[in-house]
Amino acid sequence: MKKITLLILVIFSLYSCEDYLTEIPKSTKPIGGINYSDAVASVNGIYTYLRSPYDKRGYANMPFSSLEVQTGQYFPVNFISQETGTFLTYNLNFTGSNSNYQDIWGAYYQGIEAANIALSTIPNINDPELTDSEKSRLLGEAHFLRAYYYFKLVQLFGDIPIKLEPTTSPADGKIGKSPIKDVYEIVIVPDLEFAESADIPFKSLEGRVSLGAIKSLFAKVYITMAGYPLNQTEKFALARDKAKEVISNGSYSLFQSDANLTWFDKLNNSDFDNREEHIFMAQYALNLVNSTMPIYLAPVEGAGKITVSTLHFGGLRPTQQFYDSYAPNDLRAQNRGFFFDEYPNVAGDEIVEFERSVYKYFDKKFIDTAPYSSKNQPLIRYADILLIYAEAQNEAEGSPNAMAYEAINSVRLRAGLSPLSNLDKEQFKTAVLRERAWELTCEGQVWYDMKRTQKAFDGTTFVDLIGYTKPNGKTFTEENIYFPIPQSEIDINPLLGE
Amino acid sequence: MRKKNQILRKDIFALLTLAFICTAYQVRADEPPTMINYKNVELENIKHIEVEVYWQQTTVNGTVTDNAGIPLPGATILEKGTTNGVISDFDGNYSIQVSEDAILEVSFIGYSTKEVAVNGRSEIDIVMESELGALDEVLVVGYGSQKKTDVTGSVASVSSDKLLEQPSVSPIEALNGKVAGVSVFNGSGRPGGDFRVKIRGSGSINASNDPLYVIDGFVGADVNLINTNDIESMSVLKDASATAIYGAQGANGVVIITTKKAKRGKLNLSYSGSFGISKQANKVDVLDANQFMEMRNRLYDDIRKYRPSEADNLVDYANDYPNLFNPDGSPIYNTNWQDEVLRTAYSNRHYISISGASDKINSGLSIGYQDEEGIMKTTYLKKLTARFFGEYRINEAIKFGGDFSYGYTKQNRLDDYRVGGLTPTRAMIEFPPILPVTNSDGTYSNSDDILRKNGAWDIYYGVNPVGLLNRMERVFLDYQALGNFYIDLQLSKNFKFKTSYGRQLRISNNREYVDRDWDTYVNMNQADLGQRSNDNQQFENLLTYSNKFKNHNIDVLLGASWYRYNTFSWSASASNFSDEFYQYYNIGLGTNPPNVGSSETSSTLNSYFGRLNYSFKNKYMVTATARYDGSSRFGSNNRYAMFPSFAAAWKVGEEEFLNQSKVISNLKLRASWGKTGNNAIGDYLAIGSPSTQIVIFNNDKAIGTTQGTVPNNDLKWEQTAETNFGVDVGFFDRISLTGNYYIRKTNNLLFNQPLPIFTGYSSALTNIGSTENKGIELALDTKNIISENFSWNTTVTFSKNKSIVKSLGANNADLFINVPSYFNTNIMRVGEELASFWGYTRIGTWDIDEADEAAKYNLVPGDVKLKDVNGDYKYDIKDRGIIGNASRDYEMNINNTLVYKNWDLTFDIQVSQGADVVDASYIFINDRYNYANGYTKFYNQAWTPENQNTMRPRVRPNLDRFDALDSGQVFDGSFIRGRNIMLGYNFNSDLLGKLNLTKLRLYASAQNFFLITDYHSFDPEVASWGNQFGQGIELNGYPKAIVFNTGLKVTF
Repeated sequence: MKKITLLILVIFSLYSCEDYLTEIPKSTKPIGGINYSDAVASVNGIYTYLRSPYDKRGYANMPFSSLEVQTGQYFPVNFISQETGTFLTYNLNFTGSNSNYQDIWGAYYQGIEAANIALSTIPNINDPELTDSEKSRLLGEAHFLRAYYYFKLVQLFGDIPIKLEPTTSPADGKIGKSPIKDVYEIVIVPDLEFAESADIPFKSLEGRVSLGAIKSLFAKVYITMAGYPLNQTEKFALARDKAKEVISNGSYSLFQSDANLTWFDKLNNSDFDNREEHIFMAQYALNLVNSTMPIYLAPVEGAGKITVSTLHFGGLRPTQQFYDSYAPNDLRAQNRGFFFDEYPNVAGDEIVEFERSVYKYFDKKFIDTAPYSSKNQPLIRYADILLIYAEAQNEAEGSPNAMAYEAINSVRLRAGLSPLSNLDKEQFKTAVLRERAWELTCEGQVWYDMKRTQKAFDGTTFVDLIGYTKPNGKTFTEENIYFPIPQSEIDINPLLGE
Repeated sequence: MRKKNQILRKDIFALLTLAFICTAYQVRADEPPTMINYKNVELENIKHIEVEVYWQQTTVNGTVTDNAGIPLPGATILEKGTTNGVISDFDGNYSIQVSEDAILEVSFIGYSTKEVAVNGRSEIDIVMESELGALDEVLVVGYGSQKKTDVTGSVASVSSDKLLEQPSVSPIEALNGKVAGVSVFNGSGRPGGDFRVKIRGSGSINASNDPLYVIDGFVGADVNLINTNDIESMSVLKDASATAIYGAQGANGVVIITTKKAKRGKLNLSYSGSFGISKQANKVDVLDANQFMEMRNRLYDDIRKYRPSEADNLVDYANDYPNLFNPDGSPIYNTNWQDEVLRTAYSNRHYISISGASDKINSGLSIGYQDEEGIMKTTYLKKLTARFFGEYRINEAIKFGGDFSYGYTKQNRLDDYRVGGLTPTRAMIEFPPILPVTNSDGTYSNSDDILRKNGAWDIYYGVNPVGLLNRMERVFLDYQALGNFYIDLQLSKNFKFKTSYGRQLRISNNREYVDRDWDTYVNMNQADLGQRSNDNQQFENLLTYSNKFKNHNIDVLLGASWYRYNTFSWSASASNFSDEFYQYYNIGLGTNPPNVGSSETSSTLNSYFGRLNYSFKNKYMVTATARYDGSSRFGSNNRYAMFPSFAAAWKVGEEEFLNQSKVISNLKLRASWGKTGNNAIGDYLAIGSPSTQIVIFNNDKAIGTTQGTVPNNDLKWEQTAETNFGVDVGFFDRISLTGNYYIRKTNNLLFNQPLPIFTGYSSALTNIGSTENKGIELALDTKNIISENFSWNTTVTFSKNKSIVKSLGANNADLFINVPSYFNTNIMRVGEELASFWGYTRIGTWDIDEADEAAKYNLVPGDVKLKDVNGDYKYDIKDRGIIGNASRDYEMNINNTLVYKNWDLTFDIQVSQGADVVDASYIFINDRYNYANGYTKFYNQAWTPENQNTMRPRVRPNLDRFDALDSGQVFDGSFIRGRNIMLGYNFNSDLLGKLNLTKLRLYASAQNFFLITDYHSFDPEVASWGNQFGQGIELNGYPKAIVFNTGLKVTF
């Protein structure tokens, strides 16, 4: 038996077992990273989710549509009949199973987790290339992006869970909601303060977070905190100050028409992305990461005619009520302003007519590359900041000053409207809000204004949001202020339902 | 007279090394005859062992077989009156040195001991007579073989004859219906099919439910790249007692494929070939052009009534499109798209093999080729296989052997590209009959040809299916090379040692090109290339001991193995080529920058295993196995796990009280319990890794990383514990019945536990949850008639299995599964069948006098009426429930073989009961009519004011809702299929003698020769999506053909 025993021993000791079973991946790096490029990549990754709500998925699902169809300014086109989520929102039926809300919720929380990972790992990376200045810049960008995501979520969903550390085990999913106030005071404001003090330049032509974007977002956060539901009116002054810093810096300016291009054709033109008026954008590039807003909004009747794509979705169209609210001489309401109802075909030998559609994203380059486009999605525009300044200054000081007039009038003059003057506080406030509705339409901004002011623009004036009946006959109730937290999230973590 | 020599002093370590680096080793013989004499090689730290063999004056070689010619490994061959003896090897071969006048005493459990006088012969083949008669057969089990009567676990075997009853592209196809408890589901009629094999149901939710395939000892080889003709037998190990020896990977059952070896005698050269014709088995009834226009008119009336705002856009067919309509409005064309897309397809298959065996060498070579056209135009599958095997006996103690096989398949597969969007199979049903195949200018017709006044398509957002077939190519190429090399040592009378090294290289390629005009969405031509290379290695060592003393019989197996799996993939795609010429042959010419990627993963597995078989008096037997497995895929805390099993059997029939029974000729009771594991998940999941994102800065690409998978250092094996009770009973020596009842409980499910997305992850792989499979299997074999000229044999297999979810995640929350791009179609819910269909209950349609009630749901008469479970006048998640499932309640296969003189007739009937089918196509074409043609059956049932009592809505443009299934979209998929019928003729030997042939057989067969079902489309056995639980969800699959074959087999 001795020899048999020996044989077995030999066989069974051929390899050291633990070593044999240790496999190191070669296509991926470990979580957290070890060097400068890992740090940069972990912050780059956070940007991914900026674009998510504006990306069409499935056949015609566009989460962005759920920021517009309840405002009364837009209606969804029947052509996309499989897309029930948009129709439910349009009918003010906010349900926890709406995939659009799930998509927005999921995208922004994923962005937050990406930020949490970057923020927790970058301080531990020791690489000489990662200088203090670089580290500060990267951490600043991460803080800004996390604040941006939380700001969107808290406005849309109300009380939400706060999570500032990376997930390390499934148990980390067992937390409940925090009140709105905490989300602002524990997360958003401190994150923006951190970002503001980081080593970040005022402007970024490549599309990264800039100090201009940080201060602009700060202004938007403060003016929101000043309104419903926190009503911290002292924040108007802070909003005014942040907006003023952006304006006085002089890095940004409104697009203006020139001999070659109207300002509308600059606004929708990817050549002008990250420039002049665009303070912060979700970035796209043709065939690398294509934007789908242009094809989603392209008029269905123009398919294969005004672009080379034979499939347009024509997802949203302006309601007559909203369209009629523009003054007749408002350039924004004229053909190829913010809207259009005719356009030459691709060959250029025929004018194609269609029902009024959105022109704001109709990039000329897209005509040849449809359905793909490189058009960036505007997230913060200079016009927005000008109007915030005007509104916040008026609220903080009780009446508009010269700079507030200058701010709103620069937006109006560009639209071909006459300048305002001699308005009292309320008149000025209404004028600014109306201007915001006209100017920022179809950019996912108006819904937030409606929520913080609790007012709706009925085409002539501002009325209380609750009780407001939209052009489609549906009336706002208390249940229409916040989107419900997705039911699927509550199913998994019942604490979110409490 | 007998001299005991120590002829081998060899170094085992060196021998093992030899298997890999071909080092010479040393043999020292004290005296002749020496068969080999290698140079001495001295190695340090060598452990020497002695191996004893016996030499006598005469060498007798031969093979021990049973009376069916199946080799009996492990038979004892003794020189009578001495202790000189040997044991036959795995192939039943033996070699013994005896005196010339010796008498050989050959014994094997279950067989009568036989005495044969040598009489100076050097070659004696010994045929053993079974003690139990013809029921006895040898089964291949894990790492060995056993007599069927001695097997304690649940093992079934299918012989070559049965596998070759019908032509098959893959051996899985041949296995279909042959074994109780093995459910083979063919989800597609494309050449080669789309097979899903489940042994005793599904236990896993996120890990694989596929069985483990072992080809000639190589674990995890690709069964599709083997030629069915090369297979000697397929053994299916079902219960844990049988599979636990493969512990690590055994949880889903094991299919062991043993390829043919040469038999002694003259060289065996044979050819078999067949020719086949395939046709569409049944046509699906869709509206013809006149009915279609009648439908459009009803639809237009509905639009004018309920959607007046759209009425202005409607088409005035006759006036707007005089090229398609006569002035009276009747359509000019009436195209039957099924006729245009499908064809009569031809196939041919050839297989040639040559093999021979002597006492030194057993070797053979075979080549097979199959060319199968699909009944859908331009689709095909070609398969080439080649195989070589050789075994070389160096001396009585040492054998070298190995085999090498090569497999190649090439197919053009067009039916599963972008399922859900545009597929030719879908367009074949849905494309309007009023359009011609090609317009007068030669272009393919498409939905742009009929537009509404607002520019929207009137009918269909798709293009012509004939155009689709001709304008795209999706070629899949698969290459597999599999080599296995072994050394077999007879260490002593009782001990054997085998070491083997195997390597499999598999390369899978896809080459795809889509023409510019094909795709209405992208509007660009696009080429895709990809390749995945698998390089898998296996090193295995087996030590066996067998002995018999008096009433005790012992077999012991010990083994150790190491496996390494490596996958490397790359892909490239580009679009917008200036020219259609290049297709995928020059991908750099795409004007949109090519998208490229690559990735690599590896995993390792290390196992130690053992088995003890013990029987007493040939009546009582026990088997115990254990396997200790370690996998690199699991967390560093839990890599190793132990998988034990026990089984016992009692041959009641051997007891005195039954021994003489005229009725019960055989009775055996079996019981087993065992644990097996599953590690069929991706690599590196325990480590956790970031995912890579493309982000854009400055209009250019930058790399970002975000969360990918959550690390889980505690990740461990999914474990299945299975208890099996079985009985094998025979009556009158003519009827045999095998029955099994089993309970399989799978714990520590490798489960993607859903996480709230605010954690940044949608799920984390954990070991939570359990499932249970319970079932019975019956296999009945009866010899109805046995006479000199006529015999009739019937085999019936029956299986019934239920898979139930027992627990899920931390709070047993429902888990939803969806086929790509739709809402949730399936649900995992505790207490329910795995992956049940989930949705609303359709109770009918709204009547005219229910209009007020319908209005509360925003619906009108003729719309679908769903059950509002909580009565809140909203249809939402609370109103949904379980509305069916794709699992069969039971399945049964009946095989009859009749032999009359030289003629034989075999037919196979398959019965499948209780599986439900979701027809997504029905949703798109008969729950709404705006977009496509529809099934005639449901169109005729559509709601009208005169026909209100119906489940089918009125002819209307759109769905009420598209957020879940409803029960009106779930259909009964039960069927009875005539799977195969074959008539064969074997020529008489006297005629063959004149032709110098040994055997000549001609046959004709028909597969899928009838189908009885209520299902309205081609075939209820369907799966349009490839995901694990996508079975039974159809969006116009590839129709199955009826196949006629004629063939011949000739042996020279």
